[in-house]
Amino acid sequence: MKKNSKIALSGLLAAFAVAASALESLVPALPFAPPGFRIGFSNVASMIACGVSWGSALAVALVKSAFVLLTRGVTASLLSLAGGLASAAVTLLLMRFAHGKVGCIGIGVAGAAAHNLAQVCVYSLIISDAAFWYLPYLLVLGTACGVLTGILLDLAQKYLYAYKKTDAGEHRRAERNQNG
Amino acid sequence: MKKIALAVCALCAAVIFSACSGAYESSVGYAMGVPVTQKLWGAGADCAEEALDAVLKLEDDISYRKNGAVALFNSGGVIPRGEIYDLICENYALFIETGGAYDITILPLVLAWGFDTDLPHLPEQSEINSALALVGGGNIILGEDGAYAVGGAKIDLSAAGKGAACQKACEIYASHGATGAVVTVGGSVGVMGTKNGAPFTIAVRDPFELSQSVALLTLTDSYISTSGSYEKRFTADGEEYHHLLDTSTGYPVKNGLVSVTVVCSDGALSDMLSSACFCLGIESSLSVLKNHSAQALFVREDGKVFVTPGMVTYLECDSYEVLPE
Amino acid sequence: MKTGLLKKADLIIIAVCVIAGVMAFVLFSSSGGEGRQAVIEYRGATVRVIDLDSVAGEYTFTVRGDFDVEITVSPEGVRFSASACPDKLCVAFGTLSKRGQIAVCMPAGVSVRVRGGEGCDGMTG
Repeated sequence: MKKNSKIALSGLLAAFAVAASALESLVPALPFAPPGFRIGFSNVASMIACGVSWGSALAVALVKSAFVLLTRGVTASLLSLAGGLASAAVTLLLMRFAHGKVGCIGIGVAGAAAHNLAQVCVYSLIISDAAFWYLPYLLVLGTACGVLTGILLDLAQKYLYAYKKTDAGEHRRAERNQNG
Repeated sequence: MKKIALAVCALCAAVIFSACSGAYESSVGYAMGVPVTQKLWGAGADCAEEALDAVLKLEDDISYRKNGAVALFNSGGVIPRGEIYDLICENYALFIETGGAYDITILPLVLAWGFDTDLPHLPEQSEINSALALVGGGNIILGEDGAYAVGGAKIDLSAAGKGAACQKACEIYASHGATGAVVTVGGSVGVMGTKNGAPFTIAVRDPFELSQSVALLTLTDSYISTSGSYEKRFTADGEEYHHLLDTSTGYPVKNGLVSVTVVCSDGALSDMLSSACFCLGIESSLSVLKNHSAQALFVREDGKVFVTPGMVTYLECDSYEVLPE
Repeated sequence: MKTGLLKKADLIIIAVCVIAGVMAFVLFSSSGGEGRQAVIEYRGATVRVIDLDSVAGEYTFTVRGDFDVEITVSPEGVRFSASACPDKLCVAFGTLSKRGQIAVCMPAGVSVRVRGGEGCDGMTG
């Protein structure tokens, strides 16, 4: 993929992540889940970004965290950053070293688990130990939501792969026209 | 592969579903000058928020400090037929039934004592007399078009407000499909449904040790309210005065009771009856309670606990005496 | 870079997460005993959560509400120990130790409630 396309795509993904996270925060919290628990649709954008490049993944995590800083304050943005970076790291590692062995669902679940674990750790460091009380529910619920986002990632990839194919094809046709 | 994916999805759905049958506990809200707590089964934050909003809206109408129905009534206006009108009718009926011991036109007396402020005080006898002159439930006219005051009557519905608020909240929980709920508005409690099949346990505050309980009630679909002399009291010249006033003397009721807890299927009524029975005393309360199919627990100043016979099946108390039918 | 939807390794990942969650649940239930917690809130936002079943000694801390209030936690429970409010009703609530009990300092907007553990679902009076 060309560098400019990568930057453009990163921008789009970051915007999508922010919009998705804003929409998700409107949904009322699940009863047994900790306050602020979200299904994680914005993580689909983060995971796609991991597939583009690590720079793209970093950008999406930073932009999302900056948005949270503006709307919900410092503590919330630190939590968002921790979760975002952790899940991006895990996703990148899996995509790089376990490509072919791990499917989208596995990536979704692993990313969600990393996200939740990182947030629990940061929360207990800066606010209260109480976060650990939620850990069992976070892990299990997070797995369920990870499956969901993994399926969405697969769908998104199918769409983007088709698009990329066209994009690459057009590029080659343009070159041939130039040279021909 | 497809089969495995399907099984995984089913597992996730089951997980999310089971998470939803846990309880949702809201953060502490404030309304009617008291804390409001809500715990729901089968409903969540949006339901709790809607209930709290409804309670705040009810407060606007019920509180004489706000700008709703009661404020209108107290400034000479007419309350049209509707929810508050009906509530006033209920209160008027209880006024008749208790022979005037329970009277919502008691507001001038409450204000004379300063029980509406943080610093109540002992008023002059002349102030009590002039306040008493305005007290008289008969000064409420319940007409075809609405309710209004004569003779300068001013009403205070706070003796019914918290119980009514609990009922309002429970109605909202039910409309959201909650399978169970516990709501507390100050000292009034409403329980609806069950907690995953089991009844609720409501503690009755010990008037002598406020952080302890003197009894436990195991019940469902009921409203429980308490009136106690420990709630708003002050000491002046070595004597203690509390906020439950005797409408005939203008001074706090002195009949040996320190708290009365009423269990009833109507929220406002549970609250009204707890105040009424405190003022009436144990004996005179019995027929009134029976009329409304309500049960009560009385705590006397010597520490003895008395309960109506219908309460025994769901009561847990170290020592108590059962009152006659 | 296209990855498939579901592979064997994915199921292992899911199993690990679910098992970890269950283990965490078991771990917390047994160590927490009754699992009572004191939740301290300021105007609807949780400020602090304290595990009441694992309190060793007595300690006091300040909560910044509309003005400062002092909360003391001990093996007996949690209570408002001092407050700058005029009526000091919060302090009069005494020590909370049972589920469903609450104490409030309304002027400061700070509340303390006990959740979890055995006991009552609410208190009247």
